Order: sequence, then C-alpha cells, then structure tokens
Amino acid sequence: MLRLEQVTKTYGARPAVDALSLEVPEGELLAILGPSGCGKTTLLRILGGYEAPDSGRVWIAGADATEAPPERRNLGMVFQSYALFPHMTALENVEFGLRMRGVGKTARRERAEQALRLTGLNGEASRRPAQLSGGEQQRVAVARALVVEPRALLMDEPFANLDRNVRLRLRDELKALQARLGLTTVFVTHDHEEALALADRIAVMNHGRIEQIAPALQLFLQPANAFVARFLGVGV
Amino acid sequence: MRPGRAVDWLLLPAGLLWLAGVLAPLLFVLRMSLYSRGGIAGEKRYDILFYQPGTWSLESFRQILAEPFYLRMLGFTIGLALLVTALTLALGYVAAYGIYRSGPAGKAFLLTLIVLPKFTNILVYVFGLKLLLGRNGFWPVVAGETLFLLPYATLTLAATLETVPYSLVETARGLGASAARAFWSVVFPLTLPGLLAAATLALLWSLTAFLGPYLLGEPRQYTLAVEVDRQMRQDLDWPLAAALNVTLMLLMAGVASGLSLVRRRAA
Repeated sequence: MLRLEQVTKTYGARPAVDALSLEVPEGELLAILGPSGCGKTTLLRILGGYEAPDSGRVWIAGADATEAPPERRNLGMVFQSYALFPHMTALENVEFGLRMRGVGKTARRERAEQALRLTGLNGEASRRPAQLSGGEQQRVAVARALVVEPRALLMDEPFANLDRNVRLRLRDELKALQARLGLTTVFVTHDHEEALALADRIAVMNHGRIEQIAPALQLFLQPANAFVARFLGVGV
Repeated sequence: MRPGRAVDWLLLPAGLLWLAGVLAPLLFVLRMSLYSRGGIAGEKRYDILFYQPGTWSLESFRQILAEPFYLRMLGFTIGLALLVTALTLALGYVAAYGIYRSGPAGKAFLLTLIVLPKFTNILVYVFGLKLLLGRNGFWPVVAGETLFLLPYATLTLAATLETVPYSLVETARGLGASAARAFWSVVFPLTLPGLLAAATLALLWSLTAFLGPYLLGEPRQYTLAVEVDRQMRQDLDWPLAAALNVTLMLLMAGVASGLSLVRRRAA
C-alpha cells in the first residue's frame, strides 16, 4: 500500500533519512521506533507529502506519489499536537475534510457524527477543542482523519501528550479500531512498549536508516545488531 | 480592606499626571471649540477665562458643517484614511506572512528591515520619500501614509500569525484543502483579531494624517489635521481649529467604538 524507495532527505550536513526503503502492505499496523532525532518524524512527513525527499520515490497504492501534495494523497494524518482547528467545534473539525471534498451538508453531518461515535465521542460534538480533554482531543483528531476514508493513516507520536491511564485505554481502542477497519497504519513513537503493544511489525530506526524491520517477537529473539538489542532493552 | 487598596493609592500620581497632562488640555480644546468670536471681532485674542458668559457658541461647528470646503475636506480625510488602511492591511498581511514562513535567520532579517525606517527621524524619512516619489499629489500622499503605518500593521499581524501553528495548515492540506483553501478556512479566520487590531491602529492613525498630506500633497490633498495647523498658526482662528480638532476626535471615537463593538461581537 505504501512504499518508499531509496528515499533520502538531508537537513544541513546530516541526512535525516538516508537511502531508506520500506514497504507497508495493505492492512498492516507498522510502528516506526527510534530515539529522538533518528529521522522517524521526517520519514512520516515524507509519506504524508509534507516534506519533499531530495531523492528516491514514494509509492501509494501502486502509483508514484513522490510529487503529489498532501491534498492529493488521501492519507489521514494525526499530528502529535493533534492540530485541531481551534475556531471550529469538534463536529466542524471532523466535517472539514468532507467539506473540502464537496460533500453536501446533511451527508457531511451524518458521516461526521458517525465518525465521532466510532472513536467514542457522543456529547462533545458542539464543543471547541479548548473545552476538550487531551484524550477527547485525540479522539476528534482520529475521527477527523478517518471520516474521509483515507487509504492509510499516519500518526506522529499520537499518545505522547496523554496521561498514562488515558494512553493505555486509547491505545487499545485504536488497535481494535484499526483491526476492524483493516486500515493500513503507520505510527511513529520513541516508546518501545507502545510499539510492542500495538504494531504488527516494528521498524527500528537510527541515524536515518532502518536497522531492522520485523514483528515484535522476532526483534527480541533475533535482534539484527547491538543497537536494536540495546534500544529494546535486551542486554547484550 | 481588600489587598488591592494600597496599590490603588500608588496609582494616584500617574492618575493626577494623566488628569493634568491629558484631560485638562482636552477640556480646554473643547472649551475653545465652543468659543464665540463675535464679541471680540477682529481681535482674535483667546486668553480668556475658562467660563465667561456671553462667549459660548456653536458657530465654529456650524461653519464646518455649512461650508462645502470643510465638508469636502472631511470627506477626503475619511476616504484617505480608509484607502490607506486597506492598503496597509493588505501589504502588512503579505509581509507578515513572509515573516511567518521564514526560518529564524530570515525572520530576524525581515523584522529588522520592517523596523529600520522607524530609526529615521520622520521628517528626514518624508523628504527621502519625496525624492523617491517625485511630484506632490494624491498617490505620493497615499504611498507616504501607507509606508508610515506599514511597520505597525506588519508587526501586529506577524505577532498574531505566530500564534497559528503551521501544523494546522498541514492538517488542512492533508484533509484535501488546496494551499489557498487552507489559508482562507484556517489561517485567515484565526488572524481576524490581529487584523482588527491592526485596522484600528491604522484607521485612527491615518485619520489624523498630517505630514504625508502636508509635505507630499497639494492643497487639494490637505486633511483636517493640516487645516487645524493652518487655522492655529496662520489664520489664528483658534475656535475653528479647536472645532475641527473636536470633529476629528468625534470621528475617531466613533471608529474606535465601532471597531471594539465588532471585536466584542466576534469574541
């Protein structure tokens, strides 16, 4: 569904993403795990079209999307800050993508309310983001990304700004939702516990490269190198 | 005694200073605007007590409202202020957006560039503009006034834009909005308060436009403020000058309260 081919992106002297190739099959939940500054957010931004790679190609659903701007990629994006529009209600936030697609008013409202219910929100539709808790904000951000039926969902540290209890609950909910929808999902995290709990496969990144990409169990049993082992907390 | 009481008393010196320095002169201006010239015709001496029977009159205001010369001048002053404000806001927004989208080094450079003209004495600045703009006329006046106000509007708008995280724009793009639609549906509405503040600033300032019309314009482009100066220093008709000034102040008070009403409605 998503494929990166020899993608490089350099800021200043150091490549943030270094000749990186990656394939995410349909329906997979992939975690990109690595220490801060390893290039994982840049990788996600290149997938979403928010950053143009210096070289390499980006493929989405079999088509070359390297030059496509974000609005032409039809991918859902959830930023770490959730980036909810502060001047719109929760419902209007969710309706935004449908409005951009020219969906009529009644259909729009119906689908947005349905998406809010899907993420576990009911009575909060008419509230502004500032009146919502962190967990509720995240649910709105996810509903907003899902309502347009994207080809894949991208999430940048989606649980980083939440209390532990809320984080654990939302994590389980998101996993269930993703499995139910069968939606290809890539999320970035620095927390290996989170990656282990959620992902079908985990890509461990360091210095702009993927050190190893494998299901969680295999990472533990057969770490490709000392960095992977150390980062996952397996003594070497 | 509530804890704030002592602080209130500390405000007294500033309050007295304000009363003596701002309110008292304004009261004298108001009184002067209501002065009757009839009793002392030809003499034009206004060194008279604040209250003196028989010297009160609305004749200066009547003159302003009756003479086409002053009505035309009032209309021109308002029209010029509106045009200058519109241009200032449009150009200021573009400049502020450039600052918003620049990196740290570019931001510092652009901000310095915007503020730099304010390091010059305004007269020197106007004479520099005069060389640049050529013959006096309507457009040099508009250009001069717009350039005076541009830094203030730009800084106000840049400060407002900084409060809009760029991830909001990226989110809008990701949801299918073109760059233009993302701007109009997300950035623009979020900068309306700053736009309103900049509009207030620009309108109030340009209503009192003096140096631009006086030095870059022809007599046709003279504003109320220029006429106030003329009446004060050439014709020595202080009641008329004061009445013109009060007219201007009423206009500004109207604009300011109108805009603050809009602001309250929006909040």
